[in-house]
Amino acid sequence: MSDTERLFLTYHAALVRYLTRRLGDRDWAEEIAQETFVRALRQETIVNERSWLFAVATNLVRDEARKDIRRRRHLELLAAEQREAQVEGPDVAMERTLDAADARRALDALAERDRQALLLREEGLDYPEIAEILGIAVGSVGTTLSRARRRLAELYEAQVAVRAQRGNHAAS
Amino acid sequence: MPRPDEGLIHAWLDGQLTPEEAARIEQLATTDAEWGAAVAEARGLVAASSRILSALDQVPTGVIPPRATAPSRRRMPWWTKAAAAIVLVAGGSALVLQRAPLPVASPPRVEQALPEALPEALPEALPEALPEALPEALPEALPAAPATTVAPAAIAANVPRPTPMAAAAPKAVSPDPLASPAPAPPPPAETREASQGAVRAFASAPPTADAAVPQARTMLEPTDGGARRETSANSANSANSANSAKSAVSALRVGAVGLAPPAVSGGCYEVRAVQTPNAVVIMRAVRADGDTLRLQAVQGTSTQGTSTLRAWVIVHDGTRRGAMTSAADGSGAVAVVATVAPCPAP
Repeated sequence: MSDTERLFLTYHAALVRYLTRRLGDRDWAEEIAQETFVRALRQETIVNERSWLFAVATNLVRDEARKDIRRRRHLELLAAEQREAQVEGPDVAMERTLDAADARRALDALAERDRQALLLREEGLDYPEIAEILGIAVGSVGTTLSRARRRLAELYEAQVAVRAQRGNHAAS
Repeated sequence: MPRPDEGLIHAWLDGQLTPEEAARIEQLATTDAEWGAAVAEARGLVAASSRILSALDQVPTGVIPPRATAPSRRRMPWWTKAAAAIVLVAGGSALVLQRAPLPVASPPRVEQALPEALPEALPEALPEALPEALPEALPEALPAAPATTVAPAAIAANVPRPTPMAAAAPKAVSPDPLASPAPAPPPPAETREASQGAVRAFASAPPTADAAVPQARTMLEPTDGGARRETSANSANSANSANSAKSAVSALRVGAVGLAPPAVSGGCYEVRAVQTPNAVVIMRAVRADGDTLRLQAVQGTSTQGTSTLRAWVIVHDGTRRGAMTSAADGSGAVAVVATVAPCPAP
């Protein structure tokens, strides 16, 4: 197995999942992942592969994210259309859609650093790797993560509560 | 007894502390109620955040609007265009005058004259000329033979060959990818007629395609990564034969190059495969990249599995956006023609 294949097999799934969660679109995630691997192939030496790949992917996302506020609004509209068009059982589809929308809003409301730390940790990166990618001290990763997790849970619960309230209003 | 440190607790739960630190936190968690409560809460937060994030894994694909467009086509200065138009008009007139005294038994058929120029000429030539030319003039102008004799050569000579795609080519980023492309200036009369002829020849392969031509605003060209290269190579080698050109096309799988002035992101198109004209797929334009549209099937009435067809746009610099799914039966839908269609009711 070549280095390229090994790199791809080892990290591709995790990288795409990370990017999908970050971006909200699988195709976009695949493209960024592809670009990341292309850059990895051009790189002569990589000391820590996982850290390097996630750092490059994070930077690619960041570069694009600056230009992309308008696109993301458009994305939300299109994503909603897509979800409406899905052919699942209506209850399951609705529940999943709402759940994902709440999660997306909660994640998007986090500070960028908190969001990145959370997503990177979810993909199994250790604290030194996260610190390297985010450019922070290793000792502050735990604090960053604890804040991010608490905030995410609070924001998500708030979204769910708002939704429940709307549902009650609609029912009455 | 120190106050509970949330960061430390999360680091412990994540297994990121040294053995000594971990032992200390563990002892605090078991002996101190406040630390115990903080650890329990942190466990809950870790689990909750994982669950919340996992909800993001179920996402639809192909919903992203464009974040990158091909580099804008090199703009020629106005005087260059004017000079080109004059040369074209003069050349065309000379050709017509030269042939005028000769008895003409029958005008050359468009279908015979064009295929050699088509595969290379279309992607670049059509976006400019089609939107202007098609809607009003196409039905009447099609039988006009003299113009079509000039057209293929003019197109082939003046249109640069599309760049072969590089799968991993870096992508250019447009500052405003959602913006509609600037409308193309009206082309010279010859070019308009030439384009009409080109469309006619390309679209008239299936028996039913003619009906679609008058409203056609988008032309999708069969291509994908290696396929586009194959197109150029084949067309160069078999330039003298319409049948050769057609067979070269039929060897390809479907991709999509379109033109979309005005870019109708969100609009719907009725897509017909040239090879399988009875297969109709309603596709929604989900992305406008410069003068190309990326379409995604939303409703199919296919008889040949093309309901799974997803036409991904290949922008005119040859960069492919995303992947491409061909017909379910593996045949590849080959060339497709898209006409503006009403979006299906939800």
